[in-house]
Parts: sequence; C-alpha cells; structure tokens
Amino acid sequence: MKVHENKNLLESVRDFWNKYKKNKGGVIGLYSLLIILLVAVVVPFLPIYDPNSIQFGSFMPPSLAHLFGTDELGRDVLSRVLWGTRTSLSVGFGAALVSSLAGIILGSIAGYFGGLFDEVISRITEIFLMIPAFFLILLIASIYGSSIYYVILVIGLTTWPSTARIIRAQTLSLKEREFIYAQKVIGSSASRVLFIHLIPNAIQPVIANSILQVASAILLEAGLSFLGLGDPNLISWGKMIYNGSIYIFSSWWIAFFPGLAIVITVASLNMIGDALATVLNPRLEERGA
Amino acid sequence: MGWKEYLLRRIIQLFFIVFIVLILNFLIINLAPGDPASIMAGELATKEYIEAVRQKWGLNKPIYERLISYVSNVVHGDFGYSFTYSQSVLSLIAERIPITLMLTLTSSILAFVIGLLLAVRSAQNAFSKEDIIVSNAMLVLYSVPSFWLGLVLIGVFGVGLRLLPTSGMTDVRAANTGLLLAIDILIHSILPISTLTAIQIPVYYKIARNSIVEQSSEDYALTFTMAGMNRSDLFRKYILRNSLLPPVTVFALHLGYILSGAVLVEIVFGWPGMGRLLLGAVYSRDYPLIMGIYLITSITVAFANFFVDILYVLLDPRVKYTNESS
Amino acid sequence: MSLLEVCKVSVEYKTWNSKIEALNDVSFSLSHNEILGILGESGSGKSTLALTIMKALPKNAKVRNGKIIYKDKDLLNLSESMLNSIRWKEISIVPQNSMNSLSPVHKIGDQLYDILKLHNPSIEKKEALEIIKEKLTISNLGENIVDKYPHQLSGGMRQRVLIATSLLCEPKIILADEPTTGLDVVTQYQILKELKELQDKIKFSMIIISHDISVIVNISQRVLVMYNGQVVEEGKTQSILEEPMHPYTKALFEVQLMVGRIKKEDLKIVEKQDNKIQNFENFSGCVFYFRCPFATQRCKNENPRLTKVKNEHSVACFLYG
Repeated sequence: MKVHENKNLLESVRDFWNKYKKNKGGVIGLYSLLIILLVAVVVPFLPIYDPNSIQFGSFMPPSLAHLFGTDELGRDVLSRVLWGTRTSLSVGFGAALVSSLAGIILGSIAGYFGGLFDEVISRITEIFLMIPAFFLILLIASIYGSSIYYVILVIGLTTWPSTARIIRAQTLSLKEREFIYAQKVIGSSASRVLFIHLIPNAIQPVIANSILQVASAILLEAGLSFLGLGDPNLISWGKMIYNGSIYIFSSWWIAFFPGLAIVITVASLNMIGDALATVLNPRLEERGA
Repeated sequence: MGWKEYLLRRIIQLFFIVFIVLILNFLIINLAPGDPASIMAGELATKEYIEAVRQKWGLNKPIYERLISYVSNVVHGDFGYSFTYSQSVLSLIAERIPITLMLTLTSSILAFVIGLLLAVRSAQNAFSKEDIIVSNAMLVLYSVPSFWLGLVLIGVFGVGLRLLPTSGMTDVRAANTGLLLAIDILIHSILPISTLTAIQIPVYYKIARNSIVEQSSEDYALTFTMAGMNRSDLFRKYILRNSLLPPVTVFALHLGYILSGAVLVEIVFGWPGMGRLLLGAVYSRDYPLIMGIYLITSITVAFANFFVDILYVLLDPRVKYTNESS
Repeated sequence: MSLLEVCKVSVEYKTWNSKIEALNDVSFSLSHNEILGILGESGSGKSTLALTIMKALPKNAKVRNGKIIYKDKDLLNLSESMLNSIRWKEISIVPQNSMNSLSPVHKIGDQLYDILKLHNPSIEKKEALEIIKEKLTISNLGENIVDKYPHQLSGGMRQRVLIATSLLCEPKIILADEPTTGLDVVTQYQILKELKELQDKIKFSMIIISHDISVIVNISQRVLVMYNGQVVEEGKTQSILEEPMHPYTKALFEVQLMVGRIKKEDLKIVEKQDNKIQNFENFSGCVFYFRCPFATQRCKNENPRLTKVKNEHSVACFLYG
C-alpha cells in the first residue's frame, strides 16, 4: 500500500489520534488518568478533611459525611485515598522516568556503536532482565531504609532492560537510513547524531512500554508498602490496605477503597499503554470493520 | 554449533548469572551504612554471634577476601543462620517450599489453561464485541494488586457469605488426620489458589490472544485458506501450534517465581509458606533470611531462563544454536 | 472457447476510515493452455484479483458485483462445499513467496499432505507421499524435502515447493502471484523457465501476476495491464511489446525496459503520488487522470472504456477513439 513519508507533524499527530480514539479502552484510560493527575495536583485545595486528622470516630462506615468511612484512628479514608494519588503517581512516573532514561541511553549506545559496547551492554541487559526486582527492592529497602527516593531509584534501575532492548533494535534499523547516514557524512558528532537525530526517531515504541512501566511501578510500590517497607512519611495506598487488612472482618472499607484506587489508576495506565501498543503495531490492528 | 556445545554454553551462562547475583547481594550488604557483620547476623543477634559471623565470613578482612569467603559459603549451601527462628536459613526455606509449591504450581497451571482457552475464544472472534469486552476486563484484572484481591475474596466469601475459611492451611481446632486433613487443606487452599490464578490469567490471556491474532494474519494462513482448509482445521492444525511459543515461554519464565511469587497472597491468607517467612523476616529485620529468600528467588529465576532457552530449541525448529541475544 | 471467464468484477475494501475500490469492472478470459500475464504496480489490484478467484478475500473486502464463470458455474456464487471441489483440483495458486508462505514449525511433507488430504479425504498416507514426492521431483526438488522445514531451504527452493504445492491435485488453472519476487535474477529466470517447461509438459492454463515486465513478457502469451483496480490495456504480448498504447503502459515500459533513455517526464509519471485519487470518492474520470501527461477535460469527467483498437489489442484511453 502507499507509504506517506512526508506528512507534517500536525497531520501525523491528528492521524495518530484518529486511530487511537477508535480504541475505546484507550480513550477511557486517558480521560481517567487525566482526572487522577488533576486530583494529585489540586488535592491540597480540595474541600476535604485533613488526611492525618484523627478527630473523627474510628471505624465509621461510609456515610454522607465520610463517603469512604474512617479508619482505625478515625482518619477520613476518602481524603487519604485522594492524597495517596501523589505518592503512587510520583513513584510510578519517577521510576518509569529513571528506567526510560537508563534504557534509552544504554540501548542507543549499544545499537549505535555496536561492537564491544553492544556486547557488554547486551550481556548486562540480559542479567538485569533476570533480577527479581521486587525482592531486590525489598532487600534494599529493609537494609537501607525505605525513603521514596530509594524506591523510585531502585524500581527504575531494575526495570530498564525492556526499554534498552526496544531502543537497541530501533537504533540498529535506523542507523542505516539515509538521514542518519547524511548526518555522519557531514561530520556531525556521535552524540549529536544520537541525541538530536536518532533517539527522537526511535522513541515512539518506547512510549507505550514506559506507560506500562508506570503501571507496574505503582503496583510494586503498593506491594512494598503492604509489607511495611514503604516510605513511612507518606500516605500510601499499599500501606492503607495493609492497615485495613487487619480489620477486614469488621470494617471492609478501610482496605477496599485504597485498593480500588490502585486498580483504577493502574488500569487506566494499562489501557493507554495497550491502546498505544495496538496503534503502533499494525499487525494487531483490526483490518477493516 | 552443535547441541552439546549449545547446552554447555548455556550452562556456563547460568553459572555466570548466579555468580553476578551473589556479587550484587554481597555489594548490597557491604555497601550498606553500618557494620556488615550486624547486618549479616540480623538485628536480634547477640554480640557474641555478631563476632562469630565476623570471623566466619571474614568481615574484618579486605573486601576481595570477604567476597571469596562469601561466595564459598553460599556455594556450600550456607546461606546464614536466622536468629528469629534459631535455625539455618536454608533449612527454613526448604521446609516452606512444598507448602508454597502447592499454591503456586496449581495456580500457574490453572491460569495457563484458563488464559489460553479464553484467548482462543477471543482471538477466533477477534475485534468482536465479546473480544473487546474480555480484553478490557483482562486489562483491569491485570491491574489488581494480588493482596487486595485476596482481601476482597475474604470479604465476600469468608465474611459475607461465610462459605470458605480465610486463613491458615488447616483448621487448628479440628486436628484432622488422613483424608479429612487433606480435604481440610484443600478447602483452605481454595481462596488463595483462586486469587493467584485470577491474578495470572490476564498475563497468559493477553500474550496468547495477541500471538493467535498475529499468526492468523501470517502468509501460511492465507495459503491454507486458499487451498480450501476451513477455519477450524487451520486453527487447530497450524495457527495454534505456531501461537503457542510465546505463552509457553512466559509460563516457563514464571516458574522462576514458583517459590516466591505468592508471598503477598500467602501473607493475606496466613498461608504458612515462604510469604509468612518473608513477612516475619522483614519485621524482625532478619537480614540473613531476607537475603536467603532473595538469593533463592534469583537462582530459580536464572534456572527458569535457562530452561526456557532449552525449551525454545525443542519447540521451534527455526532456532539455531547461536548465542544471539536479540 | 475460454476456460475461465471473469466478467465485470468489482471489489472494495473497507479500512478504518474509508472505502477503497480495489477492483473496478474487471473482465477478461483465459483459454485452455494459455499463459496470461497480469501486469501492474503494487496497489493496482492484481493480488486482490487472485484472492477473488480463489475466494479467499479478507473479511473487510466485499465483491460488489460481477461473475467468475468456470465450467458454467459462477465461482462467486458457489456453496462452500462446491467451491472446495473446485479449489486446488481445478484451480490452484502459487502463493506469494515469503519466509512464512508455509508454516514455519511444520515439516513440508506434512503440510503438503494436509492440503492433498483436503481434496482427497480417503487417500492413504503412502499413496499421498508418492504424489507429494512426484510433484516435488517435477518441480526440480529432491524427495528429501518432505522432511525439511521451510526455513532450511533457500528462497528459490521455497518457491519450487510452492509450485509443487499448487500442482498437488493436477489443476486446470494455476494462478501464480509474483512467483519470482525476492529471488536473485538467475534464480528468477530459472524458476520462470521451469514453470514454462512444466506447463508444456503437463498442460495447464496459467495466470501469472507480477509488477515486473520482464517476468510477464518472458512467459505469457497475452498481457493484461492493470492500474488502480482497472484493466487499462489488454492484448497479445507481442502486440503490446511492439506498440504499448496506454500512457501508463508506455511509461512502465520505458522505465523498466529502456532504462538507457528514460525521459524525465516519464519518470515523473511513474513516481507521482497517486494517493490523491482516493480523496475523490465521486471522481468519475479516468483512473490515470492524475498522473497522465495527456489528460484532457474529457478524461476528468469520463472514464474511458476498454475498446478494441486493433486485432485482439484493447486499450482504455480516449487517445485511441
């Protein structure tokens, strides 16, 4: 079929959006993520109770005054869930950022320079792919303490191999193309070719992968907090579930609502990632109606 | 490259990876702030024991000597001693393995089969309303934290409906034996196994569905269609066989987590396997035990990867015995 | 008398945001033992034509109208079981060659056996193997191929396997869709020679589809030139070679055969993007209007019909009446 090579950016974005919006799950996920992001930003200004205030009665079931009820210390579960978006999104996006940066840099170096670079980086990638991230983080958090920065850094630094692999393959195929070759011929430096010309063109398939990494980092953080290894100074959904799990027999709402928040957030991200992957992989696209 | 050389190469790689994991573990302990001996001994340890650990693992020696003694201890099966349980780490872990395997093996197999069946159904009606609904439902299920799903099931079936036991492996009050004990364990395992199965189904569903959809548009599918083969024969004889590799690979890779993948769910259900062990270790900062569990997990994961490489050669005639990593 | 008669067949594809007319009023006939070449660039609808005849169009394609008559029956209106009695036994296809034209994880012998068994359900395994080996042999392959996997063969050998596959049930008509694409020139030539020898020896009619003029000219007695889903020129190979009439055919010939003296304008014709035409859903003019250097107002408003200009040579262009 016809290949449109010289479409301008606006047209390709519109084209992409037209395809993307056909994926209903992706659209729902996108809107829901935007709302969650908005909540995380404006939560200090929302007309809700102080999440740490313990002035209410303990174990109050959901009611009009406390839509999600109150917890064992009498704190409002709804405001804690809303504040928890900040922790989860910071860990999710922070870790995905670290992981994407590491993956993009290592992957493009391996693909672009080849040879020994490629050999060494590929071997390291292989090994990191086999590191059970959750247990490594658990070990580190228990020995070094569980500040949110450690959590972000360690999740980021153990999940980069998938990005590196994608970028490496992209770079390998891109570097043979004319426009990259032309840059080399006119004597552009390797870093210029790499950062200005190669990476921006190779990055597309990484985006879907990074969105999925945000989702899995949020789940990892929740699991870690559930074990009591989350940042003790922050409100975290995982920790709320752990606290609530003790009272599951009498006060189900304490554990239920933070879990629901995790599911909605992670599902939004997964739906976006899945929609992006489908749009970017024509083999999974529906052929016709 | 011949079959034997390939195998040898993979075995060397396997050892190399285990070695790297050991070094990583070593660095984590030795770069931590504070005294590595007290970390290795765990927080409950006595002064004398810390001193003994320092001697045994050579922690007063230069770092490379420490590394050598650390690796040699681990290679000899000495993962350290847990003060919380007054028992060696390896024997502690070994005791829990069968209890954990009961959950993980059963749920992995169930999830694989159910995921595959759902995927076949979806892919055969790809892009139909049903396919889209199931696909999205699977994405949502994929987003559910296992421990929370366990709690929800406890709330519904244990607390709400009072149908199933929610905690432990046996009914302690009944003190059953023989067949009754087996039935008791079975009933207690229903909720944890259901949770673990539900959590894993989406993984197999997604990979199998996409694989089948992709294979259905391969050229050979068109060739056989043009030759007059009907859809169900084509699917049964050719597409399915071609689509199986990715889900089987993922299944084998997941076997790497067979010992530790269920820890969070075990904690929720009070199942006395590796999860309880880990939770206790985390709470009492029993570092040797945490490290032991981490090491065992790393090693099983490395073995699972090794196993997958071998499986690939057996299942896919296209794979040549090369060392290509792509 | 003709063996296969294609009458006014139109096929359209629905994509996620538009309809594309893949075939528009295509008619031609094929005689006994004739080799007919169909020439056109990618997107001209020539592969769709093959899929239509085999009744293997993708789900999003629809045959709008037309008939394909074979032995007094309209293939487009046959029941599935009737169709299966014709497929492969009467009409078969050499599929486009690719790494995965056959299943990569099954042995070639098993795959050919499955196809053979589709049309001879009662055949014994041993007898089937005899037939398979015989077809492989006449396609210039060794009998040991049955135990091989497709990836173990070279491109040329895979193509021969596909030819052997099409011969399995000794059909009257074979469609060959780009039978030499992706092969080196020497192998291409060889495969074509073998196809022609086979046709001489066991007698069948063949429709050979290609974008490559040299392939078509080499082997076919008659040529159909397709552009954007329509037949724009038809005639004896010799006649078309001597005097290509349609501006598109001319441009193709000049570019592909007379590389030495290409004129710039001709190159432009062939390279010019023709996706514009899809934006004109109601465009009723000539399909070649947007690329034609001789286009007039009439060409914009009216689509020329295929008309006989001289002995068995027809063209759809107002330049010729």
